[in-house]
Amino acid sequence: MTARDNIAADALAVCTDTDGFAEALTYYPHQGFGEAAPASRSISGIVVRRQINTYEDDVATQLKEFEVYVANDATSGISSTELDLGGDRIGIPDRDGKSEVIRTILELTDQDHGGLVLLCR
Amino acid sequence: MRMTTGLYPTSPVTEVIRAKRNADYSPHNYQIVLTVGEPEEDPEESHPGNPPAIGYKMEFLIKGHLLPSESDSQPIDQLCAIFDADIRRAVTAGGVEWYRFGDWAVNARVGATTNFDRDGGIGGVTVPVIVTYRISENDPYESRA
Repeated sequence: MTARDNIAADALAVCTDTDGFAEALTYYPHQGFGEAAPASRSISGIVVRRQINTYEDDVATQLKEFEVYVANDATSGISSTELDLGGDRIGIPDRDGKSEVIRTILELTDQDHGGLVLLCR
Repeated sequence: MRMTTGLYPTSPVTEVIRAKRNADYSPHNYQIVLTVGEPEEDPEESHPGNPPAIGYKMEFLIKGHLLPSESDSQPIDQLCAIFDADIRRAVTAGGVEWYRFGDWAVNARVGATTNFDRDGGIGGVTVPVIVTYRISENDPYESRA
Protein backbone atom coordinates (compact mmCIF):
# COMPACT_ATOMS: atom_id res chain seq x y z
CA MET A 1 0.00 0.00 0.00
CA THR A 2 1.43 3.38 -0.97
CA ALA A 3 1.51 6.46 1.25
CA ARG A 4 -1.14 7.96 -1.00
CA ASP A 5 -3.39 4.95 -0.39
CA ASN A 6 -2.72 5.15 3.35
CA ILE A 7 -3.68 8.83 3.46
CA ALA A 8 -6.95 8.11 1.66
CA ALA A 9 -7.74 5.15 3.92
CA ASP A 10 -6.97 7.15 7.07
CA ALA A 11 -9.09 10.09 5.92
CA LEU A 12 -11.99 7.77 5.16
CA ALA A 13 -11.67 6.06 8.54
CA VAL A 14 -11.54 9.33 10.51
CA CYS A 15 -14.25 11.18 8.57
CA THR A 16 -16.72 8.29 8.81
CA ASP A 17 -16.09 7.33 12.43
CA THR A 18 -19.38 8.42 13.98
CA ASP A 19 -18.26 6.82 17.25
CA GLY A 20 -15.44 9.34 17.19
CA PHE A 21 -15.56 12.94 15.97
CA ALA A 22 -17.63 12.39 12.81
CA GLU A 23 -21.38 12.81 12.55
CA ALA A 24 -24.11 11.74 10.14
CA LEU A 25 -24.87 14.30 7.42
CA THR A 26 -26.80 14.41 4.15
CA TYR A 27 -25.35 15.46 0.80
CA TYR A 28 -27.66 17.22 -1.68
CA PRO A 29 -26.13 17.56 -5.16
CA HIS A 30 -26.77 20.67 -7.24
CA GLN A 31 -30.27 20.99 -8.70
CA GLY A 32 -30.56 23.04 -11.87
CA PHE A 33 -33.60 25.29 -12.37
CA GLY A 34 -36.46 23.26 -13.78
CA GLU A 35 -34.59 19.99 -13.26
CA ALA A 36 -35.68 17.16 -10.98
CA ALA A 37 -33.77 17.08 -7.70
CA PRO A 38 -30.89 14.57 -7.86
CA ALA A 39 -30.98 11.88 -5.18
CA SER A 40 -29.48 12.93 -1.86
CA ARG A 41 -27.35 10.50 0.11
CA SER A 42 -26.24 9.94 3.67
CA ILE A 43 -22.60 10.77 4.33
CA SER A 44 -20.41 11.29 7.36
CA GLY A 45 -18.08 14.12 8.20
CA ILE A 46 -16.51 16.19 10.93
CA VAL A 47 -18.17 19.57 11.47
CA VAL A 48 -16.62 22.64 13.05
CA ARG A 49 -19.35 25.14 13.92
CA ARG A 50 -18.60 28.85 14.09
CA GLN A 51 -20.57 32.02 14.66
CA ILE A 52 -19.29 35.15 12.94
CA ASN A 53 -20.39 38.69 13.75
CA THR A 54 -20.66 41.00 10.76
CA TYR A 55 -21.47 44.69 10.67
CA GLU A 56 -23.08 46.39 7.72
CA ASP A 57 -24.62 49.86 7.97
CA ASP A 58 -24.33 49.62 11.77
CA VAL A 59 -26.50 46.51 11.74
CA ALA A 60 -24.90 43.58 13.53
CA THR A 61 -25.69 40.18 12.10
CA GLN A 62 -24.53 36.82 13.37
CA LEU A 63 -23.69 34.37 10.61
CA LYS A 64 -23.51 30.65 11.13
CA GLU A 65 -20.61 29.04 9.36
CA PHE A 66 -19.70 25.37 9.14
CA GLU A 67 -16.36 23.87 8.20
CA VAL A 68 -16.99 20.30 7.13
CA TYR A 69 -14.29 17.66 6.71
CA VAL A 70 -15.41 14.80 4.46
CA ALA A 71 -13.63 11.90 2.80
CA ASN A 72 -12.86 12.35 -0.89
CA ASP A 73 -15.18 9.48 -1.62
CA ALA A 74 -18.32 9.20 -3.76
CA THR A 75 -20.05 6.85 -1.31
CA SER A 76 -19.33 7.81 2.30
CA GLY A 77 -18.17 11.35 1.61
CA ILE A 78 -18.11 13.66 -1.41
CA SER A 79 -15.72 13.09 -4.27
CA SER A 80 -13.75 16.02 -5.60
CA THR A 81 -14.97 15.23 -9.12
CA GLU A 82 -18.69 15.34 -8.30
CA LEU A 83 -18.53 18.46 -6.11
CA ASP A 84 -20.21 21.54 -7.65
CA LEU A 85 -19.61 24.80 -5.75
CA GLY A 86 -22.60 26.28 -7.53
CA GLY A 87 -25.38 24.75 -5.52
CA ASP A 88 -24.28 21.57 -3.76
CA ARG A 89 -25.57 21.48 -0.20
CA ILE A 90 -25.12 19.54 3.00
CA GLY A 91 -27.71 18.89 5.70
CA ILE A 92 -26.08 19.84 9.00
CA PRO A 93 -27.65 20.22 12.46
CA ASP A 94 -27.08 23.78 13.73
CA ARG A 95 -26.23 22.35 17.13
CA ASP A 96 -25.62 18.91 18.49
CA GLY A 97 -28.89 17.02 18.80
CA LYS A 98 -30.95 19.33 16.59
CA SER A 99 -32.49 18.41 13.23
CA GLU A 100 -30.45 19.07 10.10
CA VAL A 101 -30.70 22.34 8.21
CA ILE A 102 -29.64 22.34 4.56
CA ARG A 103 -26.58 24.55 4.08
CA THR A 104 -24.96 25.64 0.82
CA ILE A 105 -21.35 24.69 0.17
CA LEU A 106 -19.65 27.99 -0.63
CA GLU A 107 -15.97 27.16 -0.78
CA LEU A 108 -13.59 24.26 -1.08
CA THR A 109 -10.92 25.53 1.28
CA ASP A 110 -8.61 22.52 1.17
CA GLN A 111 -8.38 19.21 -0.65
CA ASP A 112 -6.19 16.23 -1.26
CA HIS A 113 -6.57 12.63 -2.39
CA GLY A 114 -7.96 11.68 1.01
CA GLY A 115 -10.41 14.41 1.88
CA LEU A 116 -12.10 17.75 1.27
CA VAL A 117 -12.60 20.72 3.57
CA LEU A 118 -15.81 22.55 2.73
CA LEU A 119 -17.07 25.89 3.98
CA CYS A 120 -20.84 25.96 4.32
CA ARG A 121 -23.31 28.65 5.35
CA MET B 1 -40.93 31.60 -8.49
CA ARG B 2 -39.92 33.68 -11.46
CA MET B 3 -39.77 37.46 -11.47
CA THR B 4 -42.45 38.04 -14.07
CA THR B 5 -42.44 41.56 -15.31
CA GLY B 6 -43.81 40.79 -18.72
CA LEU B 7 -40.48 40.98 -20.46
CA TYR B 8 -37.84 38.41 -21.25
CA PRO B 9 -35.49 37.37 -19.72
CA THR B 10 -36.70 36.75 -16.21
CA SER B 11 -34.62 35.61 -13.27
CA PRO B 12 -35.82 32.45 -11.49
CA VAL B 13 -35.92 33.90 -7.99
CA THR B 14 -36.04 31.11 -5.43
CA GLU B 15 -36.59 33.02 -2.21
CA VAL B 16 -36.99 36.53 -0.81
CA ILE B 17 -36.03 36.95 2.82
CA ARG B 18 -35.28 39.66 5.34
CA ALA B 19 -32.13 39.36 7.37
CA LYS B 20 -32.53 38.64 11.05
CA ARG B 21 -30.02 39.18 13.81
CA ASN B 22 -29.14 35.54 13.48
CA ALA B 23 -28.58 35.10 9.76
CA ASP B 24 -30.06 31.62 9.74
CA TYR B 25 -30.59 31.54 6.00
CA SER B 26 -28.32 29.62 3.68
CA PRO B 27 -27.26 31.57 0.58
CA HIS B 28 -28.23 30.05 -2.74
CA ASN B 29 -28.67 30.88 -6.38
CA TYR B 30 -31.24 33.60 -7.21
CA GLN B 31 -32.00 34.30 -3.57
CA ILE B 32 -32.91 37.85 -2.58
CA VAL B 33 -32.09 39.26 0.86
CA LEU B 34 -33.62 42.58 1.85
CA THR B 35 -31.89 44.76 4.42
CA VAL B 36 -33.14 48.10 5.69
CA GLY B 37 -30.91 51.04 6.57
CA GLU B 38 -31.53 53.69 9.18
CA PRO B 39 -33.93 56.57 8.47
CA GLU B 40 -32.32 59.95 7.85
CA GLU B 41 -34.27 63.14 8.38
CA ASP B 42 -34.99 65.10 5.19
CA PRO B 43 -35.80 68.73 6.17
CA GLU B 44 -36.83 69.60 2.59
CA GLU B 45 -39.68 67.10 2.82
CA SER B 46 -40.83 68.25 6.27
CA HIS B 47 -43.96 70.41 6.64
CA PRO B 48 -44.90 72.85 9.40
CA GLY B 49 -48.18 72.31 11.22
CA ASN B 50 -49.56 71.06 14.48
CA PRO B 51 -48.28 68.45 14.69
CA PRO B 52 -45.63 69.01 12.03
CA ALA B 53 -44.91 66.38 9.40
CA ILE B 54 -41.33 65.14 9.37
CA GLY B 55 -39.76 63.86 6.18
CA TYR B 56 -37.33 60.95 6.21
CA LYS B 57 -35.24 59.08 3.69
CA MET B 58 -34.58 55.40 4.13
CA GLU B 59 -32.43 53.12 2.03
CA PHE B 60 -33.53 49.56 1.34
CA LEU B 61 -30.85 47.26 -0.03
CA ILE B 62 -32.02 44.45 -2.29
CA LYS B 63 -29.20 41.96 -2.40
CA GLY B 64 -29.52 39.33 -5.12
CA HIS B 65 -27.32 36.27 -4.64
CA LEU B 66 -25.91 34.38 -7.61
CA LEU B 67 -24.29 30.99 -7.22
CA PRO B 68 -24.33 29.46 -10.68
CA SER B 69 -23.20 25.91 -11.22
CA GLU B 70 -19.53 25.35 -12.06
CA SER B 71 -20.76 23.93 -15.37
CA ASP B 72 -22.72 27.10 -16.19
CA SER B 73 -21.00 28.75 -19.15
CA GLN B 74 -22.87 32.08 -18.92
CA PRO B 75 -20.56 34.95 -17.86
CA ILE B 76 -21.21 36.15 -14.30
CA ASP B 77 -21.39 39.81 -15.38
CA GLN B 78 -24.19 38.90 -17.78
CA LEU B 79 -26.07 37.07 -15.02
CA CYS B 80 -25.58 40.09 -12.74
CA ALA B 81 -26.86 42.50 -15.40
CA ILE B 82 -29.99 40.43 -16.07
CA PHE B 83 -30.70 39.95 -12.35
CA ASP B 84 -30.21 43.70 -11.77
CA ALA B 85 -32.60 44.56 -14.61
CA ASP B 86 -35.23 42.11 -13.37
CA ILE B 87 -35.04 43.45 -9.81
CA ARG B 88 -35.49 47.01 -11.14
CA ARG B 89 -38.47 45.98 -13.22
CA ALA B 90 -40.06 44.20 -10.27
CA VAL B 91 -39.56 47.16 -7.91
CA THR B 92 -41.04 49.66 -10.37
CA ALA B 93 -43.83 47.40 -11.64
CA GLY B 94 -46.57 49.06 -9.59
CA GLY B 95 -47.75 51.42 -12.32
CA VAL B 96 -46.79 55.03 -13.00
CA GLU B 97 -47.03 55.85 -9.29
CA TRP B 98 -44.95 52.88 -8.12
CA TYR B 99 -42.77 55.28 -6.13
CA ARG B 100 -45.61 55.99 -3.71
CA PHE B 101 -45.99 52.37 -2.59
CA GLY B 102 -49.72 52.79 -2.11
CA ASP B 103 -49.48 56.26 -0.48
CA TRP B 104 -46.99 55.11 2.15
CA ALA B 105 -44.16 57.02 0.48
CA VAL B 106 -43.74 60.53 -0.94
CA ASN B 107 -41.12 59.47 -3.42
CA ALA B 108 -38.72 56.67 -4.20
CA ARG B 109 -35.91 56.01 -6.59
CA VAL B 110 -33.75 53.08 -7.51
CA GLY B 111 -30.06 53.90 -7.02
CA ALA B 112 -26.93 52.67 -8.72
CA THR B 113 -26.31 48.94 -8.53
CA THR B 114 -23.10 47.52 -7.13
CA ASN B 115 -21.87 44.06 -8.05
CA PHE B 116 -20.11 41.85 -5.55
CA ASP B 117 -17.96 39.12 -7.01
CA ARG B 118 -17.08 37.32 -3.87
CA ASP B 119 -18.65 37.65 -0.47
CA GLY B 120 -17.66 34.41 1.22
CA GLY B 121 -18.09 32.54 -2.07
CA ILE B 122 -21.25 34.36 -3.16
CA GLY B 123 -21.57 36.71 -6.12
CA GLY B 124 -24.44 38.95 -7.06
CA VAL B 125 -25.89 42.44 -7.14
CA THR B 126 -26.99 44.98 -4.58
CA VAL B 127 -29.76 47.30 -5.74
CA PRO B 128 -30.51 50.25 -3.43
CA VAL B 129 -34.00 51.70 -3.27
CA ILE B 130 -34.17 55.07 -1.53
CA VAL B 131 -37.63 55.81 -0.17
CA THR B 132 -38.77 59.22 1.06
CA TYR B 133 -41.72 59.26 3.44
CA ARG B 134 -43.41 61.70 5.77
CA ILE B 135 -44.94 61.03 9.16
CA SER B 136 -46.48 62.99 12.00
CA GLU B 137 -43.98 64.19 14.56
CA ASN B 138 -46.00 62.73 17.41
CA ASP B 139 -47.24 59.58 15.66
CA PRO B 140 -44.81 57.65 13.46
CA TYR B 141 -47.68 55.33 12.48
CA GLU B 142 -49.46 58.20 10.70
CA SER B 143 -48.33 58.74 7.11
CA ARG B 144 -48.68 62.34 5.97
CA ALA B 145 -49.27 63.61 2.45
